[in-house]
Amino acid sequence: MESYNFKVDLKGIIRLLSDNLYSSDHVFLRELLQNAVDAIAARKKADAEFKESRITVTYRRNKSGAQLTFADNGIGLNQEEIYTFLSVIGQSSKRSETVRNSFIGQFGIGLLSCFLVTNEIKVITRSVTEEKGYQWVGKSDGSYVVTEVKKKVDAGTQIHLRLTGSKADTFSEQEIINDLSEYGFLITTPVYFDGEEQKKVVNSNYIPWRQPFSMTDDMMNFGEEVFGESFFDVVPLIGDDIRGYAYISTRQTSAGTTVRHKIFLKNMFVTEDGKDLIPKWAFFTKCIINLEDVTPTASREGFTKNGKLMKARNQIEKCIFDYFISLSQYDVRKLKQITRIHNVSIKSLVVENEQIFKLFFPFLTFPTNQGELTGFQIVDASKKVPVHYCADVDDFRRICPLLEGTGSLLVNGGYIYDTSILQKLPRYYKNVKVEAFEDQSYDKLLAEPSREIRKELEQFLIYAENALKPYHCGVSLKSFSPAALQALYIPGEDSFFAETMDESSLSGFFEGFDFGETQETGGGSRLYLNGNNSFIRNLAQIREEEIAGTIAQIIYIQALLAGRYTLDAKKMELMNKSLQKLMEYAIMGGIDLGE
Amino acid sequence: MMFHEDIADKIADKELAAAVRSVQKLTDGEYDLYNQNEAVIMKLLKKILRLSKKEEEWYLYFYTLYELMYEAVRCGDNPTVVKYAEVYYKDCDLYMDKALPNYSQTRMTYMNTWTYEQIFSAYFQYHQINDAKMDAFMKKFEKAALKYGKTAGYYECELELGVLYRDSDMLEHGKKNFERYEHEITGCYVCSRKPLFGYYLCNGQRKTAEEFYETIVQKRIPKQHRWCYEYCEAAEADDLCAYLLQTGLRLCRPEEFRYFYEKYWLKLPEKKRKGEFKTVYIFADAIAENWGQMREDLHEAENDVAESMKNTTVDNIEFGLMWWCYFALLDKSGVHEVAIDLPGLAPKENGKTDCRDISTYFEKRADEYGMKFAQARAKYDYGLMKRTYRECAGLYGKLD
Repeated sequence: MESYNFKVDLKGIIRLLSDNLYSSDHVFLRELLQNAVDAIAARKKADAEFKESRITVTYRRNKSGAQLTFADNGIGLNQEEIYTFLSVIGQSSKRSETVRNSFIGQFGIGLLSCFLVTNEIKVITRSVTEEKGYQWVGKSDGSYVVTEVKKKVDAGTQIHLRLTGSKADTFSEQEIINDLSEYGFLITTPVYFDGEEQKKVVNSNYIPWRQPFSMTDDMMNFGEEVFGESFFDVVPLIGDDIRGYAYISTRQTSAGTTVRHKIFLKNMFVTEDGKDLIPKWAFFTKCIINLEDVTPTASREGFTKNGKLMKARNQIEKCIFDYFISLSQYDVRKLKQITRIHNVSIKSLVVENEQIFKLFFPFLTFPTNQGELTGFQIVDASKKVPVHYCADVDDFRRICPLLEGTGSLLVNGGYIYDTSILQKLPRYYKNVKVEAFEDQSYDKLLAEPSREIRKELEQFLIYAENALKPYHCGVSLKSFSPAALQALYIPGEDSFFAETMDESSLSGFFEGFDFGETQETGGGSRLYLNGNNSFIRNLAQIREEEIAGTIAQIIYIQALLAGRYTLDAKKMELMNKSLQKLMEYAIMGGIDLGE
Repeated sequence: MMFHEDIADKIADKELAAAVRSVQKLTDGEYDLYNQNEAVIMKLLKKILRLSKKEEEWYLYFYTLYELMYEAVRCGDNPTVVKYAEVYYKDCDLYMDKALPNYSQTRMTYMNTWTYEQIFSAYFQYHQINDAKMDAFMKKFEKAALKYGKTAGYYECELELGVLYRDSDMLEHGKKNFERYEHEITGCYVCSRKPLFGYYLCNGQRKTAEEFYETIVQKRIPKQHRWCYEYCEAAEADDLCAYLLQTGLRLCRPEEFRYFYEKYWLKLPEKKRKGEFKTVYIFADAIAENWGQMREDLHEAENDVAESMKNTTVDNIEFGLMWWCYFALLDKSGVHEVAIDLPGLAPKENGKTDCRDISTYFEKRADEYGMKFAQARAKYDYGLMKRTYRECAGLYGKLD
């Protein structure tokens, strides 16, 4: 049986690389930088005396485009290695597992990325173990030529690329400097850029964690330089094979905000995306991190999700968490400030973790009917007065006026996380009683009016009940504070059901069911008239059912609007009609509505 | 967690999105969290219904109707299921096909079948749903399941109904078709397949039932379904065994009840007394004369009466029969009076009530509901059910 080899379409592979593997063609600079760094590392490994490592990037423009040369004085390649590593796709020069772990480049496809920007790659190389130098010229159609170099060449590798057309425009001198500065920010070998306009080392950076001692000011300045903004504080990130800083933002952030970190692997920039590495709850931080022991993806623009990445993530999380613990012990002022800036984000982590709950809760702020209070003030208040919370912002707004003068504390739990936090409060703080404000809680706020008032308004109530029946709303008389409040609308538990369904639209299945009190008018929706209000008391004088009904309907609409309920088409129509009627009565000079 | 994770991001109305996020936050955890937040969750779901309808966010609207009914079923709030089924029927006719013309390509397609499952779980136990209504509903349900998919859900329900009616033809039909659509099931392996116990026990296949029980308990189910051991109470041995005992009772097979009770129930290392089979746990403990949690039991009995409006007819029958036996067994064991507060049953001067009187009180309640249900459903034999409870409790001949 004959066997055949696959034919590889190199152009197709390059298109695959550019379309699917790499996010942009700029990565070829990173790949070349990486190859140079790895070659130098290999030379250092082979020769302990070797100290003068350097990478030189030369950029020259000419009529037809630009010439870019990458030169390193690393280990170089001999003839056999050229055939093995430069001419076989997927063959990395980092062969053995132990050697591999010292480098980032592991896939043998790095050099291919140059075909994203040029059709021809020229490599001149001389191995430190040989005197002879070689030239390898590869083309994007898959052909290559290897020749011996007559001239004497230094040990190391030079890669020559000719950028033409749009690529020459894209990769301007400044653009290349920017890319090299970003990718090579942490590289310890100096990267010397020799351009037509600029000649400089692009990575002579002061890295505080590499210094024997680093002060907070150094770290803060470093953060400002890296991210171009000032920060509130810095958290050193130190772990096995991890060094870096997490900077705490001075600006309010939210969980949805995309944070651009600087994440490096073995000093080479990999990604700005920290979603797999920085804990979700720490979204108010910006991190610069160098990792030594995680696995890059083939594109080297991210990390493989494995145990190593999990370990790194856990260590980073622990550093940030420990920082907050130490603040709670030694610098409460700072903790308070951070909590104020990042109230919402910290609430999101408080919900998840008991320790964090206990740490931050006293400093978190919550809107209440007595203004904005801290967790500590709420706990303190719960020892003296009843504390309730509403899970809905609208409920909070409706109930607030009723609590005036009662001393009761009502917390607005309608914003994200607040209800969950308040529910957990009694679990973590013994003897603290905080309860949800439920419909039954109204009973404590709405008192029975005196017999005299009830008698006075008896007839009006009958008229009002009839007028509001079509709107699925019952009417009751109660006394409550403040007296200025004419009426209060409380939707029934099943007001939606009552409003959606009427008897004609019920299916045959419903026939015969009787759920007792839940079947009351409007699913329990009710308009409470305030017996303490003088206007309401004056309504007792109205004897005409039509006028009484119209006024009841207007009070109903007012109560809905005051409670921020949405008026549907039917209620809008009611509002218009009843207002018009009222104006007609006024023009006719018919009624006296009291004060 | 209720609703799928990214749903709020796609909602334009801020108030509506905030309400959805609040519900997600309140349900982002185990069912304990749901229980703690039950009242708030129901309130928020109703708010979402109102707002999503106003904003014509139909997918969210029908999804919320499903979640509302699911939560109501989970909490035993059957009236809410019955009421919101009406909203579902009405709005399905008005909006479903209009709003979701490509329903087969949306998640909504399954939601319909799931919603019918919730409605079924209330309807099939109510005497107000008589044979004619039940047949009409099952036809409607089957049509929806065949149209929208997740068809196995319909046949699971048919199996449950078959158990209640002790109808071997219905069980046969349910099993055959369940197996035909079994591959569609993506939910919990145990929850969806446990109705098969009814078929096995009704057809004298005790050994198959045992093997199936042991397969589940010993975690030998197919690998891809084993996540259910982590997330579903139904996969726990005590809950599953309680389900088997309930199936034995509903099929009026005291011999099956006693067999599983003695072979498996008594040997269970842990019985947590929670969830929908709490009453079975109490009944089984009473048979074993285990009175260690009597105080909680008495409170539970009071609660069952207080909540009778929320319960289905079958719930009230089964609670009634169970407490009828419980207090008879308690009396037999030497406790002749207890302090209990039951409407219409005045205590003696010492504040206590005779266990025999309490037993009679519950028997009457069970009879009352039993008669109603038997009148509504021709295949339901209340007299046989009552005898089954007495026999399972070992009280045969003692109460006449």
